[in-house]
Amino acid sequence: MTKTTLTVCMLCLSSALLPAQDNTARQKLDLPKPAPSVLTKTLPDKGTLVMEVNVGELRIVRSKEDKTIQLTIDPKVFYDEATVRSWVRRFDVAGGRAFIDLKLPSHGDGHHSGPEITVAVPAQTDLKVEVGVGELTVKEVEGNKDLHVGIGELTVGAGDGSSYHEIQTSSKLGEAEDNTSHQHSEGFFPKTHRTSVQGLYRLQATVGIGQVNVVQD
Amino acid sequence: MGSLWLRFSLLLLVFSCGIPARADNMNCNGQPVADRPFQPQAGDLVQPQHLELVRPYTGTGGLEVSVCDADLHIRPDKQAKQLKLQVEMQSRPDGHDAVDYVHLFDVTPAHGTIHLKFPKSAHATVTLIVPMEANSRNEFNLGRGNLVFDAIGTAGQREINVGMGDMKLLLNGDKDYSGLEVNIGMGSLHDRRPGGRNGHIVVSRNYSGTGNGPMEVNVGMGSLDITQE
Repeated sequence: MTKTTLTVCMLCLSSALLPAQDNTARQKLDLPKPAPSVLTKTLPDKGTLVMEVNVGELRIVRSKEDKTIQLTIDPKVFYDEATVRSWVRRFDVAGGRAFIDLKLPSHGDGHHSGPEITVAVPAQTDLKVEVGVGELTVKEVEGNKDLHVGIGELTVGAGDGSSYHEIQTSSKLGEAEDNTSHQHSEGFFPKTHRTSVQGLYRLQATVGIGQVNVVQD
Repeated sequence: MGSLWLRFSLLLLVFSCGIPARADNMNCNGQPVADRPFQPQAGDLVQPQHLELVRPYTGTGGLEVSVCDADLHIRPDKQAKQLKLQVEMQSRPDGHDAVDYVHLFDVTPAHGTIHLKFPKSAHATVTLIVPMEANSRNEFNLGRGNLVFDAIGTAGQREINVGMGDMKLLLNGDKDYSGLEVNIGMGSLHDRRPGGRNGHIVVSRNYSGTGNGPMEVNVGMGSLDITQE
């Protein structure tokens, strides 16, 4: 066997092995993901959600089902069901008020970003929500809003802003922006404030350190 | 009685006028300070793009430093009982000098308050060399920019707040704090000390240490890099 033939054979062999390596890599990526924990209760329209989360990423969205509030916890990494449920210190509905209190574990270990929380509420729901450290996003929910993030980012959708007679944002250190009135402020004690004679609702969004944005959704 | 009401009314007037003026000055609106209370003293080096201010300071009292937009470097100096502030601006926004952005530089041996309004366009680098002894209370606030804190050998209560930016924290293992609290709203933590764990997106973590005094680092959006000596 000549040297050239040997080289060609080695090339053929290596090219045959490449797809196998590729498949192995794909198999590693296809690891099963932990199933989210889902809790559902009945909440009438025009109710109020009062929620506290110590740390994490929280999204509040419009529910696809009427008169339903749904709490979804995606742990991102494997925890047993009892552990995930133990993070929920409170999830009650009394009359038109829902109360959720979450104590999530220390966040951001290794390459994992920590649990993601989603709460789906009826289309018209007042919100009174506080997140200690992390990100709070509110999308397509009508009603009064009193939102606070201690350290992190707060983004709240307000349509074109016409549903609100008052939109107020502020931070102690960082940025405050209201896209519905094109106001922007940054640095120490940035704030925006817009009032209108029309609009049913009031929106107050504050961040201790970080960024607060009112966006059109 | 009438005189008492008059005094009360005057006090109300003073507070209602004074507080908004001060808040406006630290609004980080890119403009220089409107009512500059800082007056250079003999020995201060004041140049258009460079400042060097030195004051006697024991490092045992309260210190509050707030900077709008700059790269902020904080270094301890245990030997010298003084506070040294150096500023280097790469450019002069609208022809303004570095001193035009000094809102407050009130430093006595017992305490210090420093407010600097540098805008992004100034590309300012602020270096603070200051002793931090046991029982001192130190607060550093940076609106936007990068912050390097050499905490090796420091003590006392230290709080560092960064609105947006990257921070580098130099430590000697766990010897520079009794407890370290790290909160990052959106960003990442890189703990490069032996056995250190990284974190991403939202980070909230507490460490216990063997040093003197607690340390708290809060970053709204950005990163924290903890580096071993």
